[in-house]
Amino acid sequence: MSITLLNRVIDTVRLIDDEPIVRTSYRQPVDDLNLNAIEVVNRIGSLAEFERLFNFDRDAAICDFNLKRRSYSAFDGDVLVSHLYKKNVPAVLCTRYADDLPEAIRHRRRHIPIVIPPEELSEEALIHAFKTCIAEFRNQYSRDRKPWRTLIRIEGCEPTGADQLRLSLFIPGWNSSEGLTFTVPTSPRTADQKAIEHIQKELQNGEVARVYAQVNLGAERKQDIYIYDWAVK
Amino acid sequence: MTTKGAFRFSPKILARLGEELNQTADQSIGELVKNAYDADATVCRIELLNIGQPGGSIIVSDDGDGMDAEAITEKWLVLGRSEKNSETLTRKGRYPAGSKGLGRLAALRMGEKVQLETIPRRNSRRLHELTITWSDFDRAKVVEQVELPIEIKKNAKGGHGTRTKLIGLRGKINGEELRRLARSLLLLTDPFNESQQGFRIELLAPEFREIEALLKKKYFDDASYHLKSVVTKGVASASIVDWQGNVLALADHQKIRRRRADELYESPDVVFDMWVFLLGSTDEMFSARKAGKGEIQNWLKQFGGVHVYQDGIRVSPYGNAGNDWLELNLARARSPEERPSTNTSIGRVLVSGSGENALIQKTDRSGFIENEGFSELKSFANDCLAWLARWRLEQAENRRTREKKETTSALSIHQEKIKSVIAMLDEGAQKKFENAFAGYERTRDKETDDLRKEVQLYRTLSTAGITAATFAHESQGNSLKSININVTTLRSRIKKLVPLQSKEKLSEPVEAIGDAAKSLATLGVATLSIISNNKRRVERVEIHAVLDNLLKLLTPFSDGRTTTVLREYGQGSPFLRTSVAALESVFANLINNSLAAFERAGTEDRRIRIKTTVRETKILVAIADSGPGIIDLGVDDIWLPGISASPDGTGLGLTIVKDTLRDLGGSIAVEAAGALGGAEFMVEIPILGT
Repeated sequence: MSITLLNRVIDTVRLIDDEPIVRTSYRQPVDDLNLNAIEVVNRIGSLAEFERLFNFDRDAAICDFNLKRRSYSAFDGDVLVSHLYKKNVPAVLCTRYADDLPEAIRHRRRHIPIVIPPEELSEEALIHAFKTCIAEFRNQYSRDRKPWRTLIRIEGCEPTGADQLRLSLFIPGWNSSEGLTFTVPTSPRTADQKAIEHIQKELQNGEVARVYAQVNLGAERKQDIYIYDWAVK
Repeated sequence: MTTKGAFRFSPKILARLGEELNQTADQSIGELVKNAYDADATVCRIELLNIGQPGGSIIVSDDGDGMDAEAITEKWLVLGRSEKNSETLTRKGRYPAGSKGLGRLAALRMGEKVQLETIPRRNSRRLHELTITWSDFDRAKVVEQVELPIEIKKNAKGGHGTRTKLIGLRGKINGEELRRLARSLLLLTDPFNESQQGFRIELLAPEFREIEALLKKKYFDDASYHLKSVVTKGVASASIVDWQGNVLALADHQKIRRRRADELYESPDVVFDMWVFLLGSTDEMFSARKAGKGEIQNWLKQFGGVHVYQDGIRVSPYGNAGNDWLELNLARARSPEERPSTNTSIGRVLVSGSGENALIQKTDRSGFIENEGFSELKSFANDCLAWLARWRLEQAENRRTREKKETTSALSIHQEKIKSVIAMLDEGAQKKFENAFAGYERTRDKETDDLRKEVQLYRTLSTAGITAATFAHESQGNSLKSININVTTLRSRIKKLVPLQSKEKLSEPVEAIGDAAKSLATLGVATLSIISNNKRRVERVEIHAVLDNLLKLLTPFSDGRTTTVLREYGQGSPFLRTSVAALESVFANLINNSLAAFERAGTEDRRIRIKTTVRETKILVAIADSGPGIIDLGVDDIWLPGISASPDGTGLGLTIVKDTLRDLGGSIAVEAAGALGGAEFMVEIPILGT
């Protein structure tokens, strides 16, 4: 059995959760869509191993956020879903945090388009989620997900671990009076790093830092904002 | 027929490669000093003549191996040939440090003219002279057109070495640059290592003497801790030692790398030393300090930071003033007790320029190319510092436990002392003093007892909080999630599969399960949200946003008690610098009190009104309810710990509110019967803006 969404066929949905009872629950809406539901049962030890489970052309996934409480996975769901997204596999994060996303999910939001709370996981929600992913793989964004290059004003930063900084910032193009926080990695080194170093330097000198980045300015909620491609100019 | 072509270079390239590298004076002169080091000199002398204005001169001379005409033409005058990465050592076994190329060109172009005089060690009877006048190049079409004759003269004085004179400086060197030059020259060859001398730099300037004298003081023995760590073939180990070298703690790779313990450091072999000074502390290990705090602070101001040495030669800018490449100051801002800053520590990183994962310096001499090897080096240094911080935290905790015990025994000693003093008095006075002291002891014991109870209550509440959070985590993640998904599936299947007449029969219980699950979920979210770690961070916090979020969180509780919460906010978004947790503990306790009062009194019309008013630099938050008001307690008594109108209450809510507001610089007042008939609390908090 399969469904065709935006000219793409999906026949299998892989179910990722460290709780067997929850994986069985994920199966219900997938069954209702007449799709093949396959539970990921074995430990997810590496991303390479994980992606080998998937047929990139026909698979999709439902994934929980907290996956490391037992030895089920070496990664949390935000890492897995964003990894699948980058491989053009439609994937949806299903978590109770949907209304109050942890920083870990927020800083990967660019590659996690849909987060569904458990009570809303239905056939319709899944179809909408998979369609959103497929459209984004073709650079077709909904109004609230479309990225725009914009100015960002950073007023504070603090390390939140060995390799992370938590920035307190304003995005005037989104809402000039509402501040938000955003976590950025300081390692491994990426193209964004120059801007991150600039921010640190400016703040250490007691200045407010201004940089540019791609932001989905149409987002309605703070937690749906994603920021990427940081640049000094 | 064929003809030959070749690249030729416009003289402009000299300016591009020279001036536009944008080297600072200390970097440029450092390049010439490095050339002296590579020539196996024992001393390198720098003279600065009239440098306060443009047009001055700089002379750099050494007693190294010098050059003959061939060496000048084949090496010195060839730009861009770098032997920096060569693993061939010099005659004295030094690793070549100079770039032999662009950095030196930038140095030579500091003036309008260069005069080179050099006597080769192999033939000290010959002196070679070369003069470069840069303006000659301006008139030429290509660089090669300008011939540079090398004059060979007899030298009867003997000796060997090179003297480079830069004449007609294009800019001036001011006092601050001179201090920077002195500092960078002194730090050029690892000054931490006593044994590795044999190369001396002399800068003929008073600033140099002053800074040299300071450097020679070396306060390493006054450091509170010395962190010694190494990476060998990717495996890290570290120790913390005291000033005598006694080991205080040891760490292996696993302890340092922690969650990535199974990965090696993909860095070159590294030696990382860090001396940490607890300048503001009363730590007992520091009491043996010989030097004054001011002296050490001044020394650290000049030389503090973590310097990097590759093959014994310093790599700029790591450890320069303002260069905090390991982000020590950011880490310290977060954990001031455990972390050193660039003002309270000095460190060095030693790496080799050859071998596996060797680091490569950037052409513009602005540090290493920031590749994986460099990133791993930083990770290693940061992991070691994190281990040091953890160790210090552990020490602090042990000290607290020890002090607690010591205080108790100190108390008994003082009691005995007082008793022995009383025994010296005459009998009548003894009785009076004994009675007075017994009274004092009873009061103090009661106070201690109250405090102990209060602490115990706090501990019990914390445990209850942690247990509630664990319960919330578990139920949210598994059972509730499963219930929610299945209820949604049931709703969808009932809609599709069940005949219309039976739908209601099935839908009703399903909806009831859904509602119950929703309530349970909200309670769990509220519990977890209250204790969220992020909320304890000090940052810009907007009061209205905190109130809104809190009221949203408490909705299941207020709805469950059929209570309407009215919000009347003043204009703007008043904010202050604090933690969300601090404000939540104030408002959540006051709202909880109102909800409890309604329940206790069986109030029918249940309303809570939260009204905010901004007055200059303060916000007033009035929380009024329609409950019974304060009737069973005196208005002044409600703040005392353990006093509660509710039999199940902890009596700590308002104490927490008052203590928190005191910490925020605010205050609280109460009216037993306020605007809505029940209690009304008026909270005043200083704000930073709206």
